[in-house]
Amino acid sequence: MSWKIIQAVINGILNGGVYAIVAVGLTIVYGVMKMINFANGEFLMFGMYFTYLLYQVTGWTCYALIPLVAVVMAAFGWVVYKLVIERIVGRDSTTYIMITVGLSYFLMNLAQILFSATPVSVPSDIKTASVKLGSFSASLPRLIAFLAACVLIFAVWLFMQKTYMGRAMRATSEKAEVAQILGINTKVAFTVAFVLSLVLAGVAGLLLTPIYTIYPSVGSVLKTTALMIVVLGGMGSIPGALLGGIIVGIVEALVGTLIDANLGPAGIFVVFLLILYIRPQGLFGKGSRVA
Amino acid sequence: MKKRRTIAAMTMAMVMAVCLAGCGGDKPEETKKPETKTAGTEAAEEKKDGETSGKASGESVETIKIGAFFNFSGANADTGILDGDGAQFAVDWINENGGIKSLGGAKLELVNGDTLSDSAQAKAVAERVISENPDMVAAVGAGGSGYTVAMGSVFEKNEIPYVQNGVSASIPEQGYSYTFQPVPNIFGQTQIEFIQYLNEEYDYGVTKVGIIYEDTDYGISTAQGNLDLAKSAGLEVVFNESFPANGSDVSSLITNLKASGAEMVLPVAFTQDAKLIFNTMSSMDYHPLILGGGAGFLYPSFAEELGDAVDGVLSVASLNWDSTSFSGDFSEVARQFEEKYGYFMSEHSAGTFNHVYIIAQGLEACGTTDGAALAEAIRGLSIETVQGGKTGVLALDENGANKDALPVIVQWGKDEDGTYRPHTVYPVDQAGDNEFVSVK
Repeated sequence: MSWKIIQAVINGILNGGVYAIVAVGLTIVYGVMKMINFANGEFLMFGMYFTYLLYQVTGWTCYALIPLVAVVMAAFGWVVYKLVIERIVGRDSTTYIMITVGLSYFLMNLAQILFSATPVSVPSDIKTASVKLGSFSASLPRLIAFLAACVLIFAVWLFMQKTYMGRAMRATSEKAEVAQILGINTKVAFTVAFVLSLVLAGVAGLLLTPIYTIYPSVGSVLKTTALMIVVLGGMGSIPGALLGGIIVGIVEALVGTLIDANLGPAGIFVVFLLILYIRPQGLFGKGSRVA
Repeated sequence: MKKRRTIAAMTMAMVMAVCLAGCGGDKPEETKKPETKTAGTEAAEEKKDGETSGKASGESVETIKIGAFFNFSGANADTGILDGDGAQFAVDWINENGGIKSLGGAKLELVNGDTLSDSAQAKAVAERVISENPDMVAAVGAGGSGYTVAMGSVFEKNEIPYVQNGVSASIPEQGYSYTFQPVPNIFGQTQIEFIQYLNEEYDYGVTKVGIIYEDTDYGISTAQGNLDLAKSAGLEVVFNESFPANGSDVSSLITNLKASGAEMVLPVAFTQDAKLIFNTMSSMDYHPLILGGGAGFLYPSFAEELGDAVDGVLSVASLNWDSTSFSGDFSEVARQFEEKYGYFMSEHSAGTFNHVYIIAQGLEACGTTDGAALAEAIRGLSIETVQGGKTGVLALDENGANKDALPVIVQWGKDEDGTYRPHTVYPVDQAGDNEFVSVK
């Protein structure tokens, strides 16, 4: 029993890292733009396809392609922002939901037209590799994804805390109108937030290529869990996304291992409700000011 | 003012009258088959362009529409491609060979319906496609048992013979008279027999079996067959658990499976889960014998994803491209298919090919496109198909199940051209020159 519990915790932490990296892009966009991006999973899917295409051209291992995928996703994000998102900035949340849900279906169908529904994969020598710790094992692709998630999330946190643009984005997230009066170009802040979230979604997709095959609807596999993590960690909180991801990963693994594999997602929902009952604003959420 | 109001009211009335007339004109005269017609007596329905199509009979029929209901999008869309290619290949093959001769050489034409990898939506899809194509004569589908269970009532209501590839034993239990299951529904039995064969002929000594299956009709049905028969065969089922289909992680499942000490694992899963299970087992340094439950363990992409790791992997299949039943008229089918589509004729492609072929043979036999007559003709067919089985002859019972159908066991191996393909290894009479390669 103890072997199962420890192995489940290892599995859960590693899986939590994967969840966290998907959630952090979502939380940045919400924090700055107050927009829930329901197309985030599809952007992740495009990150996977870009990794696949760049692999076909260069033949490099997926991890060496991180800078290239980041650049391609940034360009992709900028185009999507200019064509779609910029037109609805400042509208109510219903508009954001309608547009991003529509965008998710559009992107999924676009991928099917461009790449067909046949799954493809990026060859990797470490797909089935693992790190052994006595009788325990940690999947190497998931371990790398977890470590990369930690590094990326720390880098984003530093960017938000220490740079002018990061501070401008945080000011915009507090109150866009006031930030504008103070001389902050909120349009640039919105653009950077959206593009940054797509870069993170793309890199998350890249890190998942040794774990999952690539197909047009692969983004929906993690979509619901990522949204839940954003709320659990506190909407707009970057450390919250990491901690929320790890909590969700561990709970899912423990319930799935000790009770029933089918009940893993149910376990997440129970913990989600419990945490929100105690802290409605999420683990790191600031809550809203009551007049 | 009053005059203006009167003119406005009259204009409105005229517009409404025109709209209503327009609506009436657009409405199809018949949205479903109007009445049951006897073979060879009904008149052909004239289309606007002068062509004639299904729901007719006799020499004047030019095209016969066959619905192809598969997952062309969604999580299992790769299955839809395999199914769709098999159906299209069969249609081309039949048309090139003269079409339906008893209907004056009528050509077959596919009408695609995308079941969206979602059994909850499959029924609505079937209803919509049929209402848009009231002249649909028969249908094939659906890439999974859950979709067939959902859509069966639609075909029953519209009296459209539906030849499908779901292997769940629950399909014939629905009691439908228009749904047919030429594929075997006894996967579990063949898997357990094969384990006994390994123990007896190759001294494998397998006693502990683990069963993992996706929580769908197909998964539950196959796993239940495994469970019942394993116990009666004296095998100890040390692990038996389902998992959510198309999930993000199976490490909890594999952790428990490994802890159970299962020597042989019988997994039932579609593409993504099959690969996730296989990769997770390897990364957890767990290497039991794997005897897959078909589906994802049989697709060309399974080998593309796993590479050399697929060598020696076993799975049950409803039929296989190199079994001895691909002989005679069918000897060239698998080769031509691979030449055309660039991948070997997988279980789904071969099965769907077979089902279009069965519909074509039914049409030949009854000489009419009437649904009731065609269903009766299909049920009465006694023909050789690529399905194989105990006798090699199709034998559909009153519930549409193929009484003599038998699954085969396949083993992945690399061919001379460097491509991995599944080869039939059991039953021995279906294996031809192939031999099981020990993977102990």
